[in-house]
Amino acid sequence: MSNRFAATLTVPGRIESVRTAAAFLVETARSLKIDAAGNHLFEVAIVEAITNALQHTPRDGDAPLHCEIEFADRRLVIRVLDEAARAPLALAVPSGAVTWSSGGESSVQDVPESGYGLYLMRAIFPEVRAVTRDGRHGVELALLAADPAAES
Amino acid sequence: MNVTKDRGVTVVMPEGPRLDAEVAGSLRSTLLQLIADGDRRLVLDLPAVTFIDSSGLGALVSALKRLKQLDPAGDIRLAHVQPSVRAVLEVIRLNRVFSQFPSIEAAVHSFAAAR
Repeated sequence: MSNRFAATLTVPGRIESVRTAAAFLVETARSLKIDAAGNHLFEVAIVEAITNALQHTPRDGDAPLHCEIEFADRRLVIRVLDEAARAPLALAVPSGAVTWSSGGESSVQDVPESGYGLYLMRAIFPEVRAVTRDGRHGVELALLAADPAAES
Repeated sequence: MNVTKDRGVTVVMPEGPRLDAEVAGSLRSTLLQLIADGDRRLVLDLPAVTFIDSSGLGALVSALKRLKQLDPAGDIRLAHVQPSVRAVLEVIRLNRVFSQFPSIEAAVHSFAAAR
């Protein structure tokens, strides 16, 4: 396997593109034998990143999404860049677990209806951040893959 | 969505394997309509659902909150939850909000037992 890998898929910026884009990123990560990609939550995290980009930007037509995957020196980076985004995404990345229910029994009315995406991204990717590259704004996920030598 | 009645309990079964942004609107609409029509005891049967994301979770929570506003004794319970879906519920701690049962029979019976 090459020490460096990069690939990009560009799709129309609409919700119907999410499954295709996610499948590309997940299957590519699996082909690179990234251990975390075998976790079901990996796909969920990817879907959240793509959906997050789509849902937090006012859309005018099908301005494309660029879905990038890079792997070098055990570091996996996934980037979703949105040509419709006019400014950096405002991501309130949580530092820990969901807290709405940590105080014991909570009323159902206290349970949020949205905002779970960042927690699901963080469940797999230690690094979740807003990113701007080549004038395009989006979200970047990164993790350090397990060292195969350390496992043998 | 396939909707059936079983001993006074409304059973909703999504037809596809994914509860994501593409289908969350339909799920939310179905549940909210059932609640508006007076259904108070609902079971979401998920034997074929292997993927759920925050959009799907949001639809469930939205419907449950609406139901509880109208009738605090009402509930939405889950049956046949697959491990991949359970993992997502646990990350978000919604396993504390939605009771899970291994079968429709058990879920329906749980409503009767709570009377």
